[in-house]
Amino acid sequence: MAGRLPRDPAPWAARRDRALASPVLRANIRSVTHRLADARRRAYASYPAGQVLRVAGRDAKRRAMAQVEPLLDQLRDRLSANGARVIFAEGPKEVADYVVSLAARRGAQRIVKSKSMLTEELDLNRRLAAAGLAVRETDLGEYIIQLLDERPSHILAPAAHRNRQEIHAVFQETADREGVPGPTSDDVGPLTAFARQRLREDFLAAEIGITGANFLVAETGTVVLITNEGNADMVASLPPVHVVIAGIDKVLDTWDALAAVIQQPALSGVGQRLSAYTTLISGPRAAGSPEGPEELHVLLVDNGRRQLLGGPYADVLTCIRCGACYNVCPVYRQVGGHAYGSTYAGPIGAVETPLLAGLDFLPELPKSLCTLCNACVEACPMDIALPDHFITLRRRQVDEGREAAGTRLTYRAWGRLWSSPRQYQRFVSWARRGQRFMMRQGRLVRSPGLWAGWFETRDMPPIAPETFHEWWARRSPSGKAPV
Amino acid sequence: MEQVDLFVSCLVDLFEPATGRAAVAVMERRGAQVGFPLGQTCCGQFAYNAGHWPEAWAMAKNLLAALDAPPTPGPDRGERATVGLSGSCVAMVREEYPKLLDWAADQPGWDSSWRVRHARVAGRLWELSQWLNRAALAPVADEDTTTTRVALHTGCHMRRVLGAGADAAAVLAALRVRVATPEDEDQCCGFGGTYAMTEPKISTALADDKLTALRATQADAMVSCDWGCLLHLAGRLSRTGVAWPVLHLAELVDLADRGELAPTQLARAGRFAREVP
Repeated sequence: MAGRLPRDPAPWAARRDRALASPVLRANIRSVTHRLADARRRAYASYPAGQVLRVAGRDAKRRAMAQVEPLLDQLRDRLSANGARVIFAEGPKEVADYVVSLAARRGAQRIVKSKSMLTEELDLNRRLAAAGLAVRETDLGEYIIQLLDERPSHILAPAAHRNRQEIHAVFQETADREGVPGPTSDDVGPLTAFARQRLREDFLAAEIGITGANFLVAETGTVVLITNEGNADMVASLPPVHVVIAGIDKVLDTWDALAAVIQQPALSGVGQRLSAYTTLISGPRAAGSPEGPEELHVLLVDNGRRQLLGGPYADVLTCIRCGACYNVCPVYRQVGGHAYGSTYAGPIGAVETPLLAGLDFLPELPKSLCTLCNACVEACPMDIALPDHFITLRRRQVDEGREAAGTRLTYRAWGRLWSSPRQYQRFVSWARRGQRFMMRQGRLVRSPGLWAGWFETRDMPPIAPETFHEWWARRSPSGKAPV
Repeated sequence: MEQVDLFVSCLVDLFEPATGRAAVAVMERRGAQVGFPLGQTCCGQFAYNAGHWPEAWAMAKNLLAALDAPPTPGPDRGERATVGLSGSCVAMVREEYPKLLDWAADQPGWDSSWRVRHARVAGRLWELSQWLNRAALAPVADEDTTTTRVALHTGCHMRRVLGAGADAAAVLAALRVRVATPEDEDQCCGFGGTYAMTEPKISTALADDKLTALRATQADAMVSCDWGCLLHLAGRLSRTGVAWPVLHLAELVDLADRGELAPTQLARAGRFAREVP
């Protein structure tokens, strides 16, 4: 079944123009993406084993996606044996309903969360807030955008579009509202100190902690969390109830598979050999153990994923959410993540979003957000065939009649004229006659139809007085190779 | 004498035929007997990338038939090389046509001999800088040309799909032309085929970034192996009234062969950059 994702109601042109008109946003995104892309390059260059592991990790992810259902059953059995409750959930409503009724049973009001793109995809915070629950994001970037009431603009660095000055301003506003001292300056130290102080109180007060999962190991029944801030450890251990919300695509078959892939998010995402914190969870607090949550709930979410299994786009499900494709994408570097209009941005987002939610959902994504430069597939540690997917999604849009009639006709005529030498010659003579009305100072400066966009910002030379074909014919009239 | 067929690309044929003429001169100077398969028009990449595959397939068949046709006169084409004047179009034929063939195999009227013809054509198809780099060419020019610096823009498909990102620089080095590498050299210029028409704002933002990086090298000219990128970048220079010589690699090699690499000579050959008013 198709998944449900949140979407910005603004149309593509408005979202694009908003981004292009914001020099601060563009400078912030440019700086973050270049920094992370350079870090990735350096990390692999200085660590040849990382490439070997990358290939092994990619194969492990692909192997798992070829046998998802039995692995999920195995995972459920292992986790259940350790006292966890494992639930298969369809989409946003089922997940939110489960958490809301869990909170009601526990009499819980306050929830802390660590960073989870899936819960963004499920629009979970909004749904929980509507049920009267107080949700606090505890990843620094997520905390910032929660205060700003924004969505993540980058899969790994949710507040990548904001700079220190902007973060300082929203922290100061928060401090004023909550009657506490604000950060002493807009340096990184005081800013993180402020967030740390505010979040510590939320960690201690929360009755439920929600995390995602980076990997799920079926063989051992293990939930794997990686962070660089350690906040997921707090979320998973301090509140009496821990809820893991993970996509079915996170499952791996064996512990060896985990060992192969565990470094890749850090290597490809931020250029570290391993994330600062790696947390392995296999159940709630065991009898006699002094710490850990009383209850562990693991929700395994579909939301459009199962429909991709076994098909031409199954490799999309091997994405490890490292953001390497975002960081090298020329279009993402110009417009940032909000322009994409839903949860996932960058090349993977432009491909995955319509695959999860249906081709009618944000149909501009495959068309308008990719120049087919292939930088994404070069950077992707899982070798996801992103450029091919862009092209075949465009083809499906055309095949299913989603292209404007005028555009379709233009391509038909263009294809017909250029697929035979005689017609091509005819095209040249027509175009020569037509272009006289579109020139200034010897250059083409406007054109009708599909080509009009070019001339908004660029000139073109006219069709040459003598094409190469014509020159060749003059040079060797028989069509024979000159000797 | 090596027999070489020329695949000029539609952009060179229609808009920049001087590049084709320069390529013929360059190749003949290196002892090639150059032929031009007359039926060629376009590889169909613009339609393929935009998702219009029936049109792309029609153009692909036309190109394959043209490049596979027996020559008159000359040896069997199987012993010849084909040299393309666009890294992107060569990448299309060599690396993307197989995907188009897989699709076409499920369409009515499929003829499996297209796979054979494609294998023959793709197996002997090279982009110009690959061919030049392979040909172990000694610099033809006697003059030391080391004062001339060009900023090299390598197209994304040339670099990432064809895997020929280093050939042009090697060719220029052999000709003793100094190559300036712009910052962020592997970032897309924003052309992207019809993307330049359908998303002019983003495409132009990318062109402006690319031109800033290229111009910052203070090189005497900009050179590339793809008129797709070059028409987009030069068209932007033209619209913004900036004069800077823009040349295809074939033209630069031709000038180097003739010892005509002085900045004034580059400026004369590099067209489509109007004088600053």
